[in-house]
Amino acid sequence: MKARDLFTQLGAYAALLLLACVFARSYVKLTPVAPGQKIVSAWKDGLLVSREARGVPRTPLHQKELGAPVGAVVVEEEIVGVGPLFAKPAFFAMALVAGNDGARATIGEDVAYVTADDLLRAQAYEKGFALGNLGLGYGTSRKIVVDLLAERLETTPTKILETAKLERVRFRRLTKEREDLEKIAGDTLTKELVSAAAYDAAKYLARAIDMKGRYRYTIDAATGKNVEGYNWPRHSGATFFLAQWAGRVKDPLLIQPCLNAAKLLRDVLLVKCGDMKCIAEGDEADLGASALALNAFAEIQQSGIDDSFRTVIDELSLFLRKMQRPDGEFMHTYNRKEKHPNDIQKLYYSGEATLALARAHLITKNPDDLEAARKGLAHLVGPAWSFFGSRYIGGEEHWTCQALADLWDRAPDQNALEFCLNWHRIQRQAQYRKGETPFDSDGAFGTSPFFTPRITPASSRGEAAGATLAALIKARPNDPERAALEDQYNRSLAFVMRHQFRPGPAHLFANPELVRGGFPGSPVDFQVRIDFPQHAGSSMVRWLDLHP
Amino acid sequence: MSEANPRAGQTDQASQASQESKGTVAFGVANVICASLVAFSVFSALPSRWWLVDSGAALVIALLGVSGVGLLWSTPWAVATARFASGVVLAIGLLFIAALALTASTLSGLYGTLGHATASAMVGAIALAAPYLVVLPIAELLFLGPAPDAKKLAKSDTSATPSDA
Repeated sequence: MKARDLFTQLGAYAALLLLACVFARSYVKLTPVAPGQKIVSAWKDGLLVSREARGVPRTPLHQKELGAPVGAVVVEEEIVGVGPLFAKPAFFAMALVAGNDGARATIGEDVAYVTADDLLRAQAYEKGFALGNLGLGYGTSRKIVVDLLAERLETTPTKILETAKLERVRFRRLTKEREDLEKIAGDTLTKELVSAAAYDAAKYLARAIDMKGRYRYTIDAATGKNVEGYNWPRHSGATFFLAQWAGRVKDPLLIQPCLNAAKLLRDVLLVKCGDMKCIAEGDEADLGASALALNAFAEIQQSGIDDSFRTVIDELSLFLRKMQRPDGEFMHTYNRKEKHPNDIQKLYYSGEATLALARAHLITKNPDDLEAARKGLAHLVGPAWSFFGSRYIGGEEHWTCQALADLWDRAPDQNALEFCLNWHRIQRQAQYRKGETPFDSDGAFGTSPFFTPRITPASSRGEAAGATLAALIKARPNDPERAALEDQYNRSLAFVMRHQFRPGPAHLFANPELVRGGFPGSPVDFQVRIDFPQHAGSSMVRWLDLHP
Repeated sequence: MSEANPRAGQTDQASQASQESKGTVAFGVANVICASLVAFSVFSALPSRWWLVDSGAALVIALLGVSGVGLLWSTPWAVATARFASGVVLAIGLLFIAALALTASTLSGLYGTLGHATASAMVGAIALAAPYLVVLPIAELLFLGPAPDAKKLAKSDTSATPSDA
């Protein structure tokens, strides 16, 4: 091929591709509709009880006047745009914007709507495809949408897929709460606002603890039912935040459940690991459970809400020190049967152990604890994250940066400060600004419009930002990077607070009071796990410490 | 000038042949390296298998690998194979870029703005693939020049036959 012919053809390709891209974009884009089109629904105990469509071109099948029973909540969803929707599974799943889009099906003269609230209540978003075995998903479940449309059109799902005209419909929920939430932003946070949010998070956890000290680990807010599973490091972590807040406000309604949860760890799960004591349930002890339990015990002891934890603090500190290698790294499991540590490493545990030893030292005053924490931190910010290009890639360092701050007055580590500042720079690259996604995501962290921003990563990055700021202010109060870090922290905390169930979309919950103060997995994932309020609450505590 | 000075013409031809030979070796090496990179990226680095990507990658690996070896060993079929391989790899590269661009456009229509990180990822994917799947085959096609016209070849073969005989 001659050079001229080749470049002519490449030019034609580029022009055609540009045209195709412009066409594809405009074809799938929403077309705005005439104002005043609304779906008005009455919800009771999380169930749809009646519905009325107002101002829509065609009245849906079985249109009823809205007759809301006593106690029902009436919610208006305004239709703001309509676009095409193809039945093919992959396109269907990705074509609905989670939390915003519903669907409309038309067969002949009959029309039916499935609104965004319907899909939130059915927890249909992010259920289209599973993401490995992470327990996360993406895309909307076509099955749930089609089943709901079929039910409303009194037909079969197959007929919907084969004969119905499908459209995606963008809804906007009109509620007072939404307006109020939009006012919570990085630059509008106040001590009163943050304190109230932290208090509600602590109350949520306190309510979730039974008489034996065990949490309701995960609650599906939509149904009010428990989700299976339990994790002792998270039990310990949740108790740590509860101790932080209970110690601060000295509220007996928080103190007693907190002590129940802590005593379950100390009196039932504290077992022998060789000659030492550790927190474990089976033959293998995880370092994380002991480390986070030590954090909680140290917090309880330090805050003065119960001084009976001194002995167990000494025992667990010894265990953590014995699990540390000479280079500062920790061995993360202990084989209780064969009485030896296993030199394997899991996510988070080294940071948790370092922070635990730093906090325990405040109680034990044992220089060995301080030295072990210092070595642990030096390893985390040095050899543990050192490879070609490591300064451009960030791991999960929220515990590391908290250890940095806790140790600063006793063993300041400049390398750790630089490490955490760099880690936050990397995180800032992935922090959304207002209007960057179709979701309410200002301050959240993410890299794809396929996934609604998760709440807990913003919480844990907030904890770390608060801790890093505390150390930075002590080290270099006029550092030029301080303003950027403060902005990052404030916006992430505001994002977290906007999504706290206070009460959240309560009309979609079977029992709104059950989850009040809790935090969902994401704006469309209504599962509330105990570590979600833990990280969010600890982030708030750090913020309040920086704003005395 | 070459007609006026036959020796100078011979020197030019020798120099040109030497340059062509160097270029052939360079493209041979480039093709083999590119085939290895695609093999590693798709069959080792990607976490899951998808027939569409896997078969496209297998085709690219086979074509670049065979043509690369051919160019390095100066086999009689090397130039024709390299020309064919470059054309196919270029087509696959342009399809890949078109798929990414159309996906980005569709998503931007569906979701509104894609966010800084997603846009960067899309541009990054194009930037990663373009040197191997677009720039290299274009450079190779330009270096190898147009394929000899089949009809002209046939004619020259026919006219040559009597004297050969």
